[in-house]
Amino acid sequence: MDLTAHGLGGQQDLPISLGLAVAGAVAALIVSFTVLALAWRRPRYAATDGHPVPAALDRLLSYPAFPIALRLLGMVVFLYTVTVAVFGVEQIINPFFGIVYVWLWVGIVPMSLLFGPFYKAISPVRTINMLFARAAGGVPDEGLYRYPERLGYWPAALGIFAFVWLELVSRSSTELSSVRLWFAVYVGVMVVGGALFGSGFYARADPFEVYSTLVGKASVWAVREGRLIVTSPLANLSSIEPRPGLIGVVGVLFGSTGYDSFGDSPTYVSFVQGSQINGNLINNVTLVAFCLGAMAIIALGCVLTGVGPEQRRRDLPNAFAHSIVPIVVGYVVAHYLNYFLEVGSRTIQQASDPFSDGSDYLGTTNWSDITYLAYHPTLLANIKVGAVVFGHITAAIVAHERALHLLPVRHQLTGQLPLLLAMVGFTSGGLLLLFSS
Amino acid sequence: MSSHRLLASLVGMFSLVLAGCGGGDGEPGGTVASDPPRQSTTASSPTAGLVPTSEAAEQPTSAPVDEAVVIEVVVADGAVTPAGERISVDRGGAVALVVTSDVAGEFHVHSSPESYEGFAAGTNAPIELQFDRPGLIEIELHEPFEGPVVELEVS
Repeated sequence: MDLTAHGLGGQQDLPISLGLAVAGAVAALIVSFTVLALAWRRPRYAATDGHPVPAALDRLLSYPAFPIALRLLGMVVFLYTVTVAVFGVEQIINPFFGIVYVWLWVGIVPMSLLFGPFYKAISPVRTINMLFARAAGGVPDEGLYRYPERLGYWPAALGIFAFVWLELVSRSSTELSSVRLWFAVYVGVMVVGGALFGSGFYARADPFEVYSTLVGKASVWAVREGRLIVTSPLANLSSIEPRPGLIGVVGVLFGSTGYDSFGDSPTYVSFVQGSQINGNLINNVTLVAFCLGAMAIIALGCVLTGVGPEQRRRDLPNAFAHSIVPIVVGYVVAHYLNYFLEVGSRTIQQASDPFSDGSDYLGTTNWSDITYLAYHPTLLANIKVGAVVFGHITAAIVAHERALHLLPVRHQLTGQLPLLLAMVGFTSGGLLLLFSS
Repeated sequence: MSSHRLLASLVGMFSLVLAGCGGGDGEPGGTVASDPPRQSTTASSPTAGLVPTSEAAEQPTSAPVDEAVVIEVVVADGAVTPAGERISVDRGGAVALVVTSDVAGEFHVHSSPESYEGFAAGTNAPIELQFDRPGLIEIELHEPFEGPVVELEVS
């Protein structure tokens, strides 16, 4: 069993200093209550916020060739990935692992922050569904059945859990055949789902698309009445619609990242070593507990408020869950930034030699790993704490905005307190994990 | 029309799953153990005694090193001590693993790039390691069984 939590990568980041962790937690606490006490008292972000993008950019993006080019790009990367998955070597140097664990999974966050819902635009499973539909003379958007709306994002939450389980808990996370099987099942389920429910299925059930689209709401890009606009990420995040299962998605995303951090801590490692129980079983139980625990804390933070006469408490968790997205983003940046740069750049080198036989098809074999942050641990630690605190502040503001929309006036301030406390708990817990890693 | 699509996608799904299952029977579990070619070329031999394994670092070693951090490792009766202890090491400082074991075996050093260090049965000459890059480096026993030994905090 490989005891490092990620499937890939050698040495890990140094823990952040206690002083920095405490400073971050205190900053988060103070800013949270400042937001609560001083921020606006009426909803501030309306659907009319934002500016159209410059005409030249709009024209460029309106070319019919533009989305097709993105689909082509997605299919090229997809077919390349299938090729190395099937014909590549059974070794960790096969670029397949870096592509799925680093480029795809970790890359979702920076790509979506920069470009909005990018996975939707390049999604190979959407493209395959489109091609199948064309071949059968149908419409990609339409399936045999209507997607049951009460399922919401739950299938995506399940898919995200299946992926983090493969990466963080499964003993075969770096075995080519197992990871290939996982992705074969993913593509299979997505293609069948698309045929059954039409392409709307992907917006609810594709783990990568749902993750990317949610994080894309923290970007400046939005679409209104068919036009691309530039808006504030706060307004953009506030436009995430409540749906069943949203709490599942953010809970699994946050819980699993926390588990990844916790799983490396000396406390946990020595506990697993000293225990009589099978280590893999402990890992499984701990991952599930982290994900369910995150969901439970968020849900509790949302329902502990006064509500209006017509309001149902059980609708609140999914109505506020979107505010956890920036916390997830902040923590993913803190936890994976250095890993993303280093292993992501190494994957570019490995991608040039798909079958690990010494070829150099792309001419990138001799590029070097990006290790700048690894050699500047103080800068890295500051970026980490900054990202966590910034995510927390954004989350507090987004939750405040939603509370002004949803809660009756007399509960608007007190009603936010439990969720704010939950957020402070997440943030200081996250900083504690970065300190005690 | 749509049922054709469903049929086509079902067929596609099963062939994908079959493709996913196939091909893996050859050598399961051969992934982690295999040495990546990026690894430093100073592969250690159990009998060589002092094996310099300092990685080709991008940055020059800072402070001069007077004394190595010596870590006594005992492998006996299917157990290893220490078993996961955290030890602080200065950047560029020398680390010496002194191994006493009842059987031959191998460590997996999770540095970047990673390395593998073998040892023989009996008391071995120190395995010398040096790390110029800050970070946490796990050293795990790989053979004769799997288990954490120490975690070096290089700072």
